[in-house]
Amino acid sequence: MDFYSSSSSTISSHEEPHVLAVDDNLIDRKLVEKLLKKSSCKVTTAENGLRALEYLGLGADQEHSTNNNGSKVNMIITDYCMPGMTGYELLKKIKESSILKDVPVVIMSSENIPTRIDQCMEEGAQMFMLKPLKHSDVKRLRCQLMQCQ
Amino acid sequence: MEVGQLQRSFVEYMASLFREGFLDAQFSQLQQLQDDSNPDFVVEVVSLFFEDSERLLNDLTMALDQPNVDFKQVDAHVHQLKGSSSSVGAQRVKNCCVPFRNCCEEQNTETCLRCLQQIKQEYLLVKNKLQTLFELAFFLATVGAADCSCWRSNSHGAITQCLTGLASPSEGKCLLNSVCREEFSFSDFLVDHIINFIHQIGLCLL
Repeated sequence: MDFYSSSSSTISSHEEPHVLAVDDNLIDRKLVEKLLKKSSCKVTTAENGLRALEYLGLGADQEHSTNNNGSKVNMIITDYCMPGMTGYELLKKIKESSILKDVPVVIMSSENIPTRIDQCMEEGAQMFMLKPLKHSDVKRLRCQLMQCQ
Repeated sequence: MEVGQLQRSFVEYMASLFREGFLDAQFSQLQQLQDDSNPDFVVEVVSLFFEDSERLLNDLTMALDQPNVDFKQVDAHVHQLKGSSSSVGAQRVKNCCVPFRNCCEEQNTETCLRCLQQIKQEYLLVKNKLQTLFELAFFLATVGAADCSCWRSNSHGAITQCLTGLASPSEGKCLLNSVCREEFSFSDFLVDHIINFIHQIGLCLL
């Protein structure tokens, strides 16, 4: 079992939870999207932290009122190692937002580095998962974060 | 030569790729993700992997060719390649990345170049294997879909003759060409595929 989690906060179940997946690697983006869709999630992908923030309405020159994507997103899953803004930095920005701080954020990484994991969990990450993700990981994630249907 | 025998060859070929370490469990994960809503998923992901890897290998070649090598940049490229190869299950390519990253840390251009050479070789090997696998699957899917009664006609004998006629590939090729076009009305695209596949996997079918 290659993931770490905090105590889960119960989130009301949706027919199809909407997940924002962030990864700079095209192949990994395609994979995580397929994995999530297979677990009945609606998926939006972003290729880096900045694009993710823009989508969520937290971009540098965005007004929150014109963008309510953030309120539609049930979970954010992001790669740790990304150029520009790391997954950790993205996590921090999300937790600093009054609108989005309660959205669970999952961090993925190909490297198993305990200090990195601790750092993310302390900043409020819901879970830390090792890549490559498997179907069983995503199924477990979905069950843990949402009430199982 | 029947479809059943071809199918067994396909299964055996795939098994050998796992046995010889070209592919690992992650590739099986990809296969399991493929379904009716996305029947070309594995081919799509692997094609992306080919494009991505070739770009990275070019970037690595250029980066190591500089008078002052930026090892951080080289390491970043290797990290990407490790991620991609790991995600598709290209085990041998992934395994080459670890010593490569060590060489980057030691900032040794010579050992890095040797690592690059090795990774290129492993990449070309797995690319070739996977392309053969896909062509075989493609051929099987098409032949399997063709009217089975054809296999009991003279054409069956003709195809068998083509396959065993690998000793004289040009003769086999002509025969296969005419059989496929006239008997099965296969398109040019498909015939090229079949001929290509026969040449690559050839003897394993006999």
